[in-house]
This record gives sequence, structure tokens and C-alpha cells, in this order.
Amino acid sequence: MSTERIHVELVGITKRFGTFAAVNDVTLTVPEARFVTLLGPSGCGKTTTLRLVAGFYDVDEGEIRIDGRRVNDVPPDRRSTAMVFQDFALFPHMTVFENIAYGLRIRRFSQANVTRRVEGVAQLLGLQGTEGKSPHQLSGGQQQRVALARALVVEPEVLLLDEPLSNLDAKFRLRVRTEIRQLQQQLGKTTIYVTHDQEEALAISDTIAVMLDGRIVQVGSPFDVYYAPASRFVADFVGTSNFVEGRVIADRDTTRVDVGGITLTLGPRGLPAGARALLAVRPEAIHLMGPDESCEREVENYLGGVVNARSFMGSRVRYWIGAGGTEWMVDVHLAAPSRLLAGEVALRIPQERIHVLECQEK
Amino acid sequence: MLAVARAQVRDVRWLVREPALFAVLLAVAAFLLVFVLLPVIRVLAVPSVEHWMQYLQRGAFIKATRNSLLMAVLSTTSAMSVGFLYAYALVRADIPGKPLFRTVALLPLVSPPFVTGLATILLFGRRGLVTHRLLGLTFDPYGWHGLWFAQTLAFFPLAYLGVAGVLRSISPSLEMAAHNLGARRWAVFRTITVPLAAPGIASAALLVSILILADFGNPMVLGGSFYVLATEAYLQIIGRYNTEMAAALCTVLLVPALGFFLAQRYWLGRRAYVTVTGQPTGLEQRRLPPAVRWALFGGCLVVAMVVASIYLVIAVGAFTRIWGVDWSLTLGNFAYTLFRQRDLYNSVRFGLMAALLAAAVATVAAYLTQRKSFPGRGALDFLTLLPMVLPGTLVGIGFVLAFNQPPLELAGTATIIVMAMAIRTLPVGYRLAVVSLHQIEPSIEWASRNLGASSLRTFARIMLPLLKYAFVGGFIYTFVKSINTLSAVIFLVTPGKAVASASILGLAEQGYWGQATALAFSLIVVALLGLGLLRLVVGRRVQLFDL
Ligand SMILES: Nc1ncnc2c1ncn2[C@@H]1O[C@H](COP(=O)(O)OP(=O)(O)OP(=O)(O)O)[C@@H](O)[C@H]1O
Ligand SMILES: [Mg+2]
Repeated sequence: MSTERIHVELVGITKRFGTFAAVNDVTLTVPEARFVTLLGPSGCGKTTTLRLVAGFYDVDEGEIRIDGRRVNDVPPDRRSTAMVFQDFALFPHMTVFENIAYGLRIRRFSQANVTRRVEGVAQLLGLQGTEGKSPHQLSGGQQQRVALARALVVEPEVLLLDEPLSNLDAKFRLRVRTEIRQLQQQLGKTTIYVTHDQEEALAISDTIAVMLDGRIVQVGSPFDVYYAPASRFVADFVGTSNFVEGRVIADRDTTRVDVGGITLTLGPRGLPAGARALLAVRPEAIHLMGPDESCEREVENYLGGVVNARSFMGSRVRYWIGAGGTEWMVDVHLAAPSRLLAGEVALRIPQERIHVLECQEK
Repeated sequence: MLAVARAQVRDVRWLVREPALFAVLLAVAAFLLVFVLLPVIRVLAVPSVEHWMQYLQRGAFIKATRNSLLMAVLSTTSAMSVGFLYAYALVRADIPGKPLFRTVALLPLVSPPFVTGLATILLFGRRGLVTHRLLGLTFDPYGWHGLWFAQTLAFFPLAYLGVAGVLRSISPSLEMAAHNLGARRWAVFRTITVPLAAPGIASAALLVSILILADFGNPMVLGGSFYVLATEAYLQIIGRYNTEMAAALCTVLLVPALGFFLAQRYWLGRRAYVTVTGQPTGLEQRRLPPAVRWALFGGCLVVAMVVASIYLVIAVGAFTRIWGVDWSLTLGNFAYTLFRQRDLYNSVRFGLMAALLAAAVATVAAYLTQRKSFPGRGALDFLTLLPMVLPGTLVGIGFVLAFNQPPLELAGTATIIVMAMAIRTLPVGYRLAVVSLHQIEPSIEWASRNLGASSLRTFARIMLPLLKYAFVGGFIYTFVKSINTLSAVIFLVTPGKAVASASILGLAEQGYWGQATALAFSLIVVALLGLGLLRLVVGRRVQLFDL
């Protein structure tokens, strides 16, 4: 992996509006042909970061490099960072063809060349037949493709996408996101993608950079971000988690944590005794058993509990179980229609699925 | 067929269920029919074939028509150019002094339009401050060149407001998208900004051109022997008592105005590019390079200084004993205009009444057309907006023709003047009310109905309080416009019922510059006081004149 060429580099960039730092000391490297997603809640500075890369705003501190070249002072029209805008920003006074051809015309391509390229990209995105239409005559999905085609046709160095799916309906969003990903891989285009939808980010990215309050709080593969969140915020924002806090008990080669009444066994972790630890457990990691499925009580992290509430979601059921002084969210996948649990139940939390988020020595 | 009929029945059922509102609708409709439609019809009806033959054969009329067109083309071009520069600078450029520039552009909008003509004479006339006193020249501003200058200054603020609105409506992300695809500033301006703004700008230019085409005050003050249709029509009535010929000339003016109005309604309105964007997080336009910014600033500064000098000269004139001869200061001019004559007092009184009437009719009409369906809704909307493009001269002559015999004998009364003022300003009040109504969710009204209030009660208890700022805004606006209107009321004033705008014209024609400017100055002060009061009462909740 170390042979990968670094394509886009953000080095400690900061952007302030007045005194408010919308982007605060952000550092990120984007290798060539990779799909990197900026993920975070509304207002965390994703769009601002993307606009800094495109050159719509000037950075106040830090450096942006593309291909190793510092581009801080390069105006947006010289950056070759074609962007798909959240509102698509299709030119309403031009046809679909003219929209897509715009960047080529600006680059003074010959008419024949323009036609050939526009037709090529229209074909690629399934836009044949719409070329003569005006943008407002298209459906949302078609508009989205025109925006994508318009950005792709100029063969930008870097493709920027700002929540390109947020104006589409839920079903369609799934399809288009797969298409975008396939296209990106097929073309090998370095891409920075912005979304606040964690599921979308997990599904589409090579790398996810999770943002909060203008900062990047974790960078990693979707797998890392999901299974090894760096903080409570990430664990909560990407997927859902049960959080419990407790005190570490030293116990020869295995670590235990006392979380108010019950003790969870973590296996060998080497945490210092007496420290306060914050633990996270994904709802789907917990095994739920009915009263009749009793197994030997000797097994680790076995808790008796009561179903407080449940919610049927089609392929799975989410239970809220009161056990050991805490309420646990537990997801149970239904491979076939089966009886929903109620009343007395039992939980088992596999030790390898308990993630230590923080550990502070007293 | 049956379904359509049934839908129509469903639409009008509220008429039966809400008799009070129905009565209000009938009253508004009657008002519009009598005071908007009837005068127009009277004007169209009086000229006979003979008058039309005369129009086509008499050199003077053909010449006046040509002059009108020439002036409209010249002044629209220059006013739009200045207006575009001003708007582009104020909307897009990061330049100092914007509030000042805005305020200066406001002045021609709140003063009698012929003030620029008056000031042109004081500055550049035979005894003008610049030409005679400073340069020692003998220069004659009367004629097409002086008129062109005055009309440019009088109408550029309107052009500015139109263009500024259009520029603001262009989503910054479109221009950013073009940059992002590699276009330089000039390319973006040429391929994105201008084409997007073009329909709106064309529409503003057409409006400005029909207003200039029909303008009466400045050609009267400054035209000299350069007659246009509006002044020719005035002469036909005042000099020759030939109302029929005057009506024919007004009809000629009405044709392009009506053409524009219909085009605006059915074609231009639809072509304007409304850019809908879902993401308000302020993407700003790119900063202009310093050279462009300072060039724009310089342009604005020149325009603002010319406009400011116009109003300064009016103020100075008001306190000068005899312009061009005796430059000593005096308050005597005000003594005459404020205390010996009732013109200013009449203007204010009639203006207040007209404003109340216009704002009330406008608010109710807006509510009816925007929130209710009934047969003739389109016609009601049409009639309320129509006066915007009616030449003032036509309204004046139409009123003379329509209301000089029973049962509607109003000639010589204050009522006829108030009505003329109200009609002239009705469309603006209506527009304001429509805009405010669009900001009120229909569900608010439904909630009130849902809780058991009748439609009339809902209007009074829910809509009126919500619309009150629009109402106050419409009231002040129509007041300011009413006291300044000239072309319509000049046919309606009688010795006891004189109003300031008409008297200023009379005083200026006789060379009483001191008194004319003192009266004009007072009128401007009254208008500014009205706007100040508005700011005090409603703060920034109502936007008038882009302030
Ligand atoms: N032009 C601006 N002026 C002042 N503050 C701004 C401006 N643009 C953005 N901000 C602020 O900067 C912060 C980050 O904004 P940004 O648009 O980057 O958020 P985002 O992560 O894209 O959010 P969303 O998911 O809602 O699009 C927000 O708090 C926003 O209010
Ligand atoms: Mg955003």
C-alpha cells in the first residue's frame, strides 16, 4: 500500500468565518484513484472542506496540495477539481447537451470532439435521448446524472461530490450510489465525497474521514471506523452502540470491568487496574436467548434481563433489554418468521465484541 | 365537461357560504370596473375615424410619436446601462459606501419625477449655475439632449432595482459550477451571468421604456419645442379643448404599454429563470479583482454625485431669492408655498386618503386573488395590476371623460383627485400584499377555519394582523407615490383643489424657480418623513425601494 501515489493532500487547513472556525486544522491525504468520504453531522464543515479543495474559499491556514503542488493560490477555474453540487447547479438556460459540453467548450475543444465526448459520457450514464431537453424537464435522478456527466466529461484530476444523493428518494439513492461507486472504480478517478449518511459512507468508500465541529476525528477504512471507533462520538454516529462505563479490575492475564453491579470480562487487554473505562458494544454483537434456551450459567458475560420494549423492522428486531442495571439495545436478525421474545430473557456479550473506547487512569 | 363544471361549482361554493366576503369581493370588483376599466374604455371610445385620420396626416402628431419613441429608446438604453452598473456594483462588488449609494438612488424614486428636469434647468439652463455662472456659457438645455439627461437620471433607479433583483436571484452555485469547470471570470460573466439575467433585464428594460414613453413631467419642463405624445395630448386639451384628439394620442401610448403588460404576463413571466436551490449555506460569489471593483466604485460615485448635485441644487434653489440673478438666501419662498397656498396641504391630505384606499383595496384584492377561487379571478388580478402600465395622461383624460356627468359627476371634487392617485398606485400596494401573502402558509388560515372561525373572521383576526406590515408598507409607498404623481392629476385639479406636483410645474413654467423648488423640496421632505416613519413603525420587516 505504501507505493500508492498521494494525490490530494490537506495539511493542517483552517477556514474561519469571522472568528468561527468552520474547518479547524484538518489534515488528510487522498491516494490516487481512491474514494474518500467526509462523514459527519450537519454543520461539521464537510461542505466547507470540499469548497476549500475546489478553491471556492481561500484557506486561512495550512496548505492544500494536488499532485504535490501547492494550490492555495490557484483560482477555482485552474484547479481541475470538477464538483457535483448538492443542488446540482445545472445551468437552467442550457440544454442537457450544452450543460455537459460546457467545460469542453471552455477548454476550446473542437465541435467534433465535444460531440464525441458528450455522447460518450451520456452513454456511460444512460442519458441518451435527453440531450436536447432543458434541465427542468428531467427527473431528479436524471439531473443528478447530468451533473455527474458534466463533471466527469472534463476528465478532472479529482472528482468532488457534495451530498449528491440527498435530493433523490430513498430507493433510488441506493441504486445511484452503487452506480457512482462502480463508475469511480471503472474510471479510477480520485474522489472526495461528502455525506452525513453513515450507511452511505460505509457502503461506498475506500476511506472514511469522520468530522466533528470542523475537525477530523477519525480516518480509516469503513471496517475500522465501524469496528474500531476512536471515540464515543464515532461509535454513536457510525451505526449505534451500547455504552457502559466502569472500573478496571486487575485479574492476572484477563481484564475485567466492573460496571455497577455486574462485571464484564474482556479477555487479555492489559488495561491498568483501577482505571475508568468506557466500553461500546454493537447491538448486533449481543446474543439474546429466551428463557427456555438456557445454557450453562458459567459462561462469561451472561446476564439475565427483561424485555422493556421492542421494534420490528422487517429483517431484524430491535429489543431494549433491562439487564444488570443498564438498558441494552440488542438486534436480532430474523432468518425466518419466528416468535418475538417478551418477558424474561438472557443476554450473552462475547468478550471479543466489547470495544474499549477510553481508558483513564485515576 | 361535467367534471369541469362540477369543479367550478365546488370552487365557488364559498361565495354562498360566506356572504360577507362575497360582498367585499363585489365591492372590490365594482371599484376596479368603475375606476380602472371605465376611464380606459371612455378614452378608447371617444376618438372618431376623423381623429385617427388627423393623427396620421398631421405632421406634428407623427413627429410627437417619433420623438416619444426616440426618447424612450435613448433614455431606456442609458438608464439601463447606468442601472446595470449600479446594480452590479452594489450586488456583486465589495465596495465601500453602499448604504450611501442606495440612499442616493432612492431620491428620484420618492420625489416628483420631473425634479431632475427642474434641476437640469437650474444647473445648465440659460441662467444655470454650472453653465452660466461657473462657465459663463449660454447653453440651452431645452430639447432632446437635456430631456435625455434628465430622464436617464429620473429612471435609472428603477432600472437599478430591477437588475439588482435579477442579479440576486441567480444562485451563486451556478457561477461557481462554471468556474469549477474551468471558466475564467469573463467567460462566466458572458456564458452564465448575462444569459441568466437577460430575461429579467429585458423585462425591466421594457417596463422602464414604457414609463419613459408615457412620461409627462420632464418633457413638459424640459422638452421645449421637442414635443412628445404626452405633452402633445396635454396641449390638445388645455390649449384647444380637443379632448377627442388627446384621447387618440393617449391610445397610441396605450398600445405598447398594453403589449408589454400582456407579454410580461404571458411570456416573460414564464421565461425568467428561477433558480431553485436547496442549500442556503452561503456560497458567495467570487470577489472581483481590485481593478474591476474600483472601476465600478468610480462609476457609482460619478452617478451618485450627479444625482446628489441635482437634489442639492433643488435645496439651494429653495432658499435662493432669484435664481441666476440674486443669489442671496431667503426663507421667502417657503413663506409663499407653505402658508399662502394650500397646495402642499392638499397633496398630503389627498395623498393620505388615496393611500388608505389603495392599500385597503390592494390588501383585500390580494387576499381574494391569492387565496380564493371565483370566476373572474384572473380578470380581477389583471385590473388591479393594469394601472401600472397605463399612461398617467390617459388616466387623467379618462377620468375627465368618465366622471363629468351624472350618475358619476365628480369633476372638480377632491374625490376625483384621490381616486386618480389611488388608481395610479394600486398595483404597487397589490404586489407588496401578494408577496407578503405568499410568505404566510395557507395552513395558518386552515387552522383558523378548522377551529371554527368564518372566512371573514379569519381574514380579520389572522390574516390582517399578519399582513399589517405589508399594509403599512403599501400605505406609505402609495402615499409617497400619490403626492408625487403629476400626469393624471394635472387634468383634474381646479383652483381650490390644487396639489403641489401640478403647482410646481405651473410655477416652473412661469419662471418662479424659488417657489417651485421650495415646493418640490417640501414635497421631498414630506416623502422622506413618511419613509422615516415607516422605518420607525415596522423596522426592517418591509422592504421598500431596496433600502
Ligand atoms: N459563508 C458562511 N458564513 C458563515 N458561516 C458559515 C458559512 N458557510 C458555512 N458556515 C458555517 O460553517 C459550519 C460548517 O458548514 P458546512 O456547510 O461546511 O457544514 P456541512 O458539514 O456541509 O453541513 P451539512 O451536512 O448541513 O451540509 C456551519 O456551522 C455553518 O454555519
Ligand atoms: Mg454541506
